[in-house]
Amino acid sequence: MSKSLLLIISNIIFSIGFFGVLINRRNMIKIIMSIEMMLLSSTINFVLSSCAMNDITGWVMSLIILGVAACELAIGLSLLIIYFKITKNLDIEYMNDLKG
Amino acid sequence: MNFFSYFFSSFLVVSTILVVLCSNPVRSVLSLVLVFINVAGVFIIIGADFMSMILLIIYVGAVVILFLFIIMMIDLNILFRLRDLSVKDGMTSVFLSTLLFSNLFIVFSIIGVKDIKILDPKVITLNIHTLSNSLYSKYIIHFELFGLLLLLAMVAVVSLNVNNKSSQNNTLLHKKQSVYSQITRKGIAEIKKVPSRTGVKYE
Repeated sequence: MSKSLLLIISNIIFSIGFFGVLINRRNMIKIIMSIEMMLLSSTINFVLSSCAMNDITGWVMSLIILGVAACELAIGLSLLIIYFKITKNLDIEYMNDLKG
Repeated sequence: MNFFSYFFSSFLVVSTILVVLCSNPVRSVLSLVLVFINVAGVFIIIGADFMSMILLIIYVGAVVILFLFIIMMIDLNILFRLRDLSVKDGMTSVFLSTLLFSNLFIVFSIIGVKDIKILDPKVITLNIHTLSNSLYSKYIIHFELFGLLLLLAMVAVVSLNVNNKSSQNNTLLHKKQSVYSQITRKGIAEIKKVPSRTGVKYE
């Protein structure tokens, strides 16, 4: 594999995930999916640098990122379910009940 | 080897774009599965075989299935009736994400990507043995805190969704069956003790 191809690929995935967070403002599920892809791109960076330097630290950090992603997903999806039960809607632009 | 790296990378980018742009959430979840499978292939190429298996088992086996369960609980017709985003917002998102991409690209090229050489997978000594050695000796505090984080997430999710005293009045959140009020309801149906061979007169 060429030297910097994977860095560029993870860069592209991070940017597309950011784009998904910005453009899917009407659908909360796809925002959570985009955040998941951004975390995946950071995992790719960690594993790549770990394999480039022959050091195990990147693998440990990517395991921890994986757990954090799972926790974030569980809590975010349960909040989503509660929000959907109350408002029958998933648009985050209508989430302004606390604005007063 | 070179062919497979370009193969996985191009499919990775295409399926990532599909996740973001599909209007049907079920299709975008299936594209997410494709993303994870391609990343697992890339990990095998650069020599991180254990991480690739972990990625397949946890992400494809648990995370994506959780997404599918949530989509099953939600009325899909509501998701299709969502309003469209305005052109101005779309252009702003394209501009901001392009800015982020170029920024990261410039940073990566300044700090010297050329120093990073992907080692031959035969040279790499990383495997599950060295991972567990360092996970249980050098990074033991990180590992314990990671377990604590999982416990906290579990407690948070259960306490968000459990029935407690204050949420019993809120019938929107929790619909519970109250057996006593069902049986003692007057007007439509009633429970009577019927004596033998006489029956009940209907009024």
